[in-house]
Amino acid sequence: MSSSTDRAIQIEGLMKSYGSLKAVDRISFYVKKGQIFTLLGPNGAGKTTTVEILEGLKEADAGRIEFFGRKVDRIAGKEKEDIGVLLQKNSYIEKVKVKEMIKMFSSFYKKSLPVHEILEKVALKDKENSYVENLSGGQQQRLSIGLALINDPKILYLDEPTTGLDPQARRNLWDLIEALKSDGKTIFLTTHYMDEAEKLSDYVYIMDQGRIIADGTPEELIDNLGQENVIDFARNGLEDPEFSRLKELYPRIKSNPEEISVYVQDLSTALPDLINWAETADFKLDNLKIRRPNLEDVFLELTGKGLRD
Amino acid sequence: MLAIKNIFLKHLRKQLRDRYSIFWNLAFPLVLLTILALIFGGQTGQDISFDISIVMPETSQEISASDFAYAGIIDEVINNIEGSEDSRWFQFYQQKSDQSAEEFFSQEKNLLEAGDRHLILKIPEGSLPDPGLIAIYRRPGSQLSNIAADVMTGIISEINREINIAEGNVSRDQLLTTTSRQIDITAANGAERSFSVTEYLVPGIILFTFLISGVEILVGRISSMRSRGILKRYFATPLKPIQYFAGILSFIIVLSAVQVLLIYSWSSFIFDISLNIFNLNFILYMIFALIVSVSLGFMVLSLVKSRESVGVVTNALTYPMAFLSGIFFEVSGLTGILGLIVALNPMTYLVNGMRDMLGIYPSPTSELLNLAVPLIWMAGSIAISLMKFSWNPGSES
Repeated sequence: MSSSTDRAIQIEGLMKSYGSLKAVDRISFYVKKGQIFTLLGPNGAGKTTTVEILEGLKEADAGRIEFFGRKVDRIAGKEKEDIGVLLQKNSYIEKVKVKEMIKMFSSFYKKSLPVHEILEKVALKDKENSYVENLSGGQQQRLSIGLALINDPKILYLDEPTTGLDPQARRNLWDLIEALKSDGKTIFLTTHYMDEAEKLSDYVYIMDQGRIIADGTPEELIDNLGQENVIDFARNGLEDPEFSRLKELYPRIKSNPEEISVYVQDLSTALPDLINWAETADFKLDNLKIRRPNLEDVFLELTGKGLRD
Repeated sequence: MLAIKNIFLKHLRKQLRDRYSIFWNLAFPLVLLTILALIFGGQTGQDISFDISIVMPETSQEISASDFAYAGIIDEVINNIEGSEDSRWFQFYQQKSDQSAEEFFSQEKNLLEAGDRHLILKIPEGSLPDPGLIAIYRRPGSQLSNIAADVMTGIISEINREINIAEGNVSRDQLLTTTSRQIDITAANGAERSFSVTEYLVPGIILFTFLISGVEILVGRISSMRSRGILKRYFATPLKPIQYFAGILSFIIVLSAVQVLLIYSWSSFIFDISLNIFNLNFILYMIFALIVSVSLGFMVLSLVKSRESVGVVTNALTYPMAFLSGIFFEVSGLTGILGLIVALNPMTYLVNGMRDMLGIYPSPTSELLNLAVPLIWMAGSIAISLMKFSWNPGSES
């Protein structure tokens, strides 16, 4: 249990509608200072609207916001001085150099870090005179994080920070995010990547259809599934009646047109049963994998759909 | 203030570093001016002279001005013009004493069609109280023919005023005073200097660049940044929309000032024009014209959200506005729907006002209309913008 003094942000009953659509439906949560907090949810769950309210880009229809212990009607200029933002969609202005871009953003704040310090933090010192549009995807994303750090913010909102990056660039960015956490920054993360959420998050909220449907540390959420193992294999066009027989054997089963995932407690009995079923059904068990459940499985269990649906 | 300066510099750098922007926004107006001057002027710096045929009724030769018949009055006006410095503007052709009116009219009509005359005025026989109608024949598609028609229409209005005076509505003393003043005004426009096609085009090209800056460039930049989420990123900082607006508006003003100076310098150097564009009234009117264009731009941004549609709408707005306003060539002869567009188009009045202020030729529309119509458009555009404009691309969940 945390006290209100160690909370960076606390919201209660936050609501936002677009016409008849309730994008955010009276949600409440808090973010502890110095933690990496992750908001998970499929497209249209209301994550972006929630984050944009907290970034001061949108105004909530109802609800209370507490920003570092201060009650505010909405996030405005004063709060924005302490907020760093990396938006989901980062598009760049043509014909502007990296150094010029950082200087311009610096001028938007009352206080800002020196340009060279930002360039060093995001490892772009050698690119300061390059045009922004000529940077690689990973470098552009590092610049975006650099722009979010200009004002030495207390809290950073990172919306899908690694989307579209190659694995190496993703790992580099994870290191940077962890370094920022070590510096004492509070980080509010939204992501589609389960491995990213599991690796980086101290606490996770899962959101669907405008509501918070679960929360906890990644380990707590996975443990709450109550299953220890998952067996994945290729669906290979499996249909009834064999598919129904499989579901009778394993009550907790998830499938999509490509893959079937079977959730089991005890592998020593579940695996022989599965092999027997396959022989009887004349079904080939391709791409068979045994793994621990992850946040994707938690999400499937809670919402019945994948994060990218 | 620093934020505004940096936003201004960002737009300026983009302008100066992008060769397409340099061409289209800075070089193209000069190219356009040169091409149009060569097409319409025939040669650089050519002075305009209107070749006008006056077809008098056969009885007119016995009519004196004191009879206040049209023919007599016009005869006197033409004699006055021919005897003054205004004769540099006009070359009048009248029938010989042994030539019938119909014969002369037929001959001059052929010359008009062949391009050797700009206008034919056919004077009726009428006298007070029923003076009849003057027929003006112009050559379709000829810019000079249209200008000549405008100028002569203005002169005929003065004649009508004289007829009204003769009817007793105004005293003879006032008639003399009024006629004298009118001649002075004509002398100021025509006697001190004649104008060339390039001089006629310069205010039009300046207004065209304002229209492009206010609508195409401003709208293009804001809609691009809006749809790509760049503005959203700006406003996630403490930057206020009004600061961003001030920054981009400063850029548009500086760009427009540079365009005006370039157009003026180019046309002075290449075409040897002598226009005084640096008088305060003209500068204020240019600022007014730019504000009208910018407000039109914001109206487009308010009504059209998608970046792709914005491009189509701005093109659909700017080019008809430019071509159906008299910016490049005379449009006063247009009728029907095109005539209606000309009459409703704020650019028509702005370009008339600009040419009038520079003394190029008297505006065919009144000073009041030259202010009021653009002002109405500006007020309407600002009202729509205040109600509908958003810096965000649209609702998202």
